[in-house]
Amino acid sequence: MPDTSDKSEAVDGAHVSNSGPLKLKKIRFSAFQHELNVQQRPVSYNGVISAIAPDKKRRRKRVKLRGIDMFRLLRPYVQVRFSDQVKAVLPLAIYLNLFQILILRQNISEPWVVMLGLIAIIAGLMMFMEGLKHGLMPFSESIGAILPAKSPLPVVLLVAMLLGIVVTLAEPAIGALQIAGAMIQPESAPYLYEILNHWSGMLVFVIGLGVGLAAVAGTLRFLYGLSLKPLICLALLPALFLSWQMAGDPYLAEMIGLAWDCGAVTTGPVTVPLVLALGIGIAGAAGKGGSPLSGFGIVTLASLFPVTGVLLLANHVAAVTSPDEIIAAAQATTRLVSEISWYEQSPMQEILAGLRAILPLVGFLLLVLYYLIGEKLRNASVTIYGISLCLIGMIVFSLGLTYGLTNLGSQSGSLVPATFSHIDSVTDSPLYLFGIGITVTALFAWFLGFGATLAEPALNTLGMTVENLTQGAFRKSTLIYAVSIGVGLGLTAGVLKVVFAWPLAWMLIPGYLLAAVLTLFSSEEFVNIAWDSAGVTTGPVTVPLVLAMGVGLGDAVSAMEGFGILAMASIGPILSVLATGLWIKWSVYRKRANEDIQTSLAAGETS
Amino acid sequence: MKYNEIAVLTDIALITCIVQRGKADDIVRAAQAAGASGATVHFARGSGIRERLGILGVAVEVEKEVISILASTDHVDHIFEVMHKAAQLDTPGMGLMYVTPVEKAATHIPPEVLERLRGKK
Amino acid sequence: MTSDKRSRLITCIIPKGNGLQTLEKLKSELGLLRAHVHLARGTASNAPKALHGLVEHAEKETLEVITDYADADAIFAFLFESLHISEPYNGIMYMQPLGRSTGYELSELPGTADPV
Repeated sequence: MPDTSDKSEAVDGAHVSNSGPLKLKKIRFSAFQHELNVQQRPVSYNGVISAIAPDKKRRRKRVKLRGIDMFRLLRPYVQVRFSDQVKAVLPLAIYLNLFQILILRQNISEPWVVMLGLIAIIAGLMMFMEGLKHGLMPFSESIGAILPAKSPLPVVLLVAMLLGIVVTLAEPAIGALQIAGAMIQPESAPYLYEILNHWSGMLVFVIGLGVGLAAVAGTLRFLYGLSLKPLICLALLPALFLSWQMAGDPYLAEMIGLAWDCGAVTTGPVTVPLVLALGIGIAGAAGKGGSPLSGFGIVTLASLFPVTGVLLLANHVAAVTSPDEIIAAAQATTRLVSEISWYEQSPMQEILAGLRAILPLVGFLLLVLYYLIGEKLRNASVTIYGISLCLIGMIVFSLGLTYGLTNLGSQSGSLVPATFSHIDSVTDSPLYLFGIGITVTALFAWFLGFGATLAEPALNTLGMTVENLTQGAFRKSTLIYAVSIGVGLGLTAGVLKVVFAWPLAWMLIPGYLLAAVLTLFSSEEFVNIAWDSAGVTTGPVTVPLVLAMGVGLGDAVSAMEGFGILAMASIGPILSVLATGLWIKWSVYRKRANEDIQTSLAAGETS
Repeated sequence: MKYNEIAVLTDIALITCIVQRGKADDIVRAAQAAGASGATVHFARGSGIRERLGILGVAVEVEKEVISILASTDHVDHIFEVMHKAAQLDTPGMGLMYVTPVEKAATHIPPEVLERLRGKK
Repeated sequence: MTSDKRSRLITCIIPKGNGLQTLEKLKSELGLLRAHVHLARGTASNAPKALHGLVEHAEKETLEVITDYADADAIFAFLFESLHISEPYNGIMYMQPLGRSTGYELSELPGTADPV
């Protein structure tokens, strides 16, 4: 501490002294405050370094931690990961519980199983996300970064194409759609019945081809620095045109919903991180785009290209067979009730599904690494640790879904129609007046969409990637909320479509046209984020829940088919995220305009 | 447009603070409450403390955030202390902070502010 | 002002967009190679407080250039003009003395002329 002689001199100076006028010594106030307030003790860093230098055997001394230090270190590590997943999953679970108990006045069957299932979901998600971060994403990003350097352009495109196909085969959420197809009567929707039951292999292939072409188009986009906007318009045009044409024919119109739903369900929780990371790697190494988000776009195109493919397939099926033939053939064959083999039952089914989702993709990437790039796996132990964590997490997550959320969702989803119409299993249904029942159903759908999207792991990954690439300017949490609100709105629209039997084309085409208009006005970054996040929603959490609800609703209102809800749920987030982007742009512009007015006013005053 | 003179700002120091990812916002808020005007943050990756914490090392986030704040030399010590407290830098693994001298800086200065400052000299 | 002959580090924090272009300009017009750009986010007081999440305008680029003592002021002025720092919302730039710095040369690839 410095001595206070300076101050006392100032004080002394105030006294009248014999020798002449007052002398005032000036001291800066900040120096005074500094001495009063600053409590710093200088310690030489040289001394610190020599104290912690490694001993003769090159071992570093362990740091001694106080109890409070250990707590401060561990608490954020565990708490953040746990609370992230709890925040994602719990709202949906609580909501479904309350809805069933309060609104539907039904008890929840097997509550303990559901509870365990929910815990499994949270634990599985924690492991899956951690495994992604340490293993799968760095792995594919590094491959993407080296690939353009070691291989010529056609080979890179071929890898992209094959990846797209392998990805679809690994995660065919098509299976979920086929379950929905099982309820379809050949008499009421012949072509739909035909496609789902006899052309399913072709369907999966067409979708895979669409995703592969999307991967190629996306890769070309980064390599040449093209904007995503024209590509989106190019992808939308044939799909919208075909939908509009098919809307006229009642038999063809029933397949529009299926086509758009197929597009919506591609790219699941394993595909998205892999494709994103690969794209970012390629874009960073070889791309011409200056924006950090130029690696996005494949997911968008992977959701749009298959739609056109399926619509074309639908037209082909319509040309090749006729409704009468289909109905006749269906009546002739007796459908055998096949024995469900042990590997199709849960829990084995989830384990196999988890293995099937991750291992082929990892194997494919490893092949690319060894043969095309010719390098060994770097950081092998960390990567293997990450991938195994992903695998275990995925399996636990799927098991938890089946026993927990989907169980819960099917219970409430299939009973929701009881609010406005009669269902045998629910005593004194309809529970409410028709108008109120419909409103309750619509609200149910909104909250379901919102809650399920919060829990989607693929959206979580997308949000994390966006946050990383923009150095935190775009927060993951806000993106997730914006998307979830959009999905809620879309889901509500889809549910109303099923209940009131509105033609899907009339809702889809204006919806996508509006999205295209907003796209034109938005910045490239927001366009990248919005369309990709729409492609990413409708994943393992949302799809089963929506289908359970859709089947129940379709039964209750005797609808021909329950498709189209997922497609509507995909338009919602595009609109909500783009609208948010435009609103932010406008807010910033307005705030700066205000500030400029204020500064010019102030200038006017002083001059 | 050529400038005949550029108004440069003096008596500035740069505070750089490196913390675990996710903590930057709280520290920036504390610094701004203490008088800092702006802050710039970017991501980085760090090593060093993990190996010396033993098993607890896994809890230290490898990903870092680097905060850069320009402060006037009058206030730099106060802001430094506020940030130190907010970041809990006495706990091992929480991060580090340093101050470097800045020779001069330049930014947009509203014309009437410039006039007033010139008038004072 | 200091009278030491140390190298200087000029740092410019600017809105996202012009970083790579400016890097090219430094190379082609001034022959400067010791420069790099990275992304950052800015939390300036002019950010609307309610928009804590998706704030696109908060994205910044940080451009750092190492110069010799003799050229420092000239390059400072050059950057000031070409980045339009004097206009509002265009960022801030500052210069710091460096203890030590190394040179940086790009090697000629065999069979290629000096790329511009």
